[in-house]
Amino acid sequence: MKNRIEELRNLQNLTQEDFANLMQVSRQTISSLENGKYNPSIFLAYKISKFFNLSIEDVFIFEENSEEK
Amino acid sequence: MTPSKKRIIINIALILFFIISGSLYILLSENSNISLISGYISGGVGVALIQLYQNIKIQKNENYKNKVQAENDERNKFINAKSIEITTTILFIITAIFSLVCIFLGKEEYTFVAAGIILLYSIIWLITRTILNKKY
Repeated sequence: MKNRIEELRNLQNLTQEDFANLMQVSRQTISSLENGKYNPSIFLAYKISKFFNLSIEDVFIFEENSEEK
Repeated sequence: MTPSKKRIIINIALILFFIISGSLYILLSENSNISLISGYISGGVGVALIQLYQNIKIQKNENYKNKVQAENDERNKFINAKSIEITTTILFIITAIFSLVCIFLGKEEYTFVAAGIILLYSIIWLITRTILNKKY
C-alpha cells in the first residue's frame, strides 16, 4: 500500500523524528511507513490522517492487487 | 488504574513471592541447597527490581514514558510477533529432525522428550487458539 506521508510531512516541515514523536511511534516506524515496508493498523492510519486533516483514502492509496506483507 | 501502576503492583508481588517462597523452602527443607535457592531468590528479585524501577520511572518521567511507548509501538509488536512465529517454526523443524535422528541412533528416550515437547506445544497452541477465537 502506497501513501503520501513523506510528501505531507515535508509540507509541514517536520522531520521523521518530530512526526514520530507526534504520532507516539518510533522514527523507524515512520521510515518504514514512508518506504512502504510496513502497513499501519487502522488506528495509526486514522491518527496520521487526522493529523493532516485528511481522510484515510487521501493519505493511503489502497491497491487491489497488493499482497499483505 | 493505569497499566504502569498495575505493573508496579505485579512487580512488588513478584518480589514478595520470591522472597517468601525461597525463605519458606530454606526453613522447611532439611536438605536445602542454600546456594541454589539464594540464586533463585536473587535472580527473581533482581529481574522484578529492574522492572519495578523502569515502571516507577515511566510513572514519574513523561519523556521516558513517551520513549518506552515509541519503542513498544505497533511495528515493534508486529516484528516481535513475526520473529516469534518464525523462531517457533524453526524450533519445531529442529526438534522434529532431532527426534528422527534419535530414533535412528536408538536413543528412544530423547525421541520421547522431543515428541513430548511438540505434543505439549500443540496442546497449548490449541487451547490458546480456541480462547483467542472466542475473544476475537
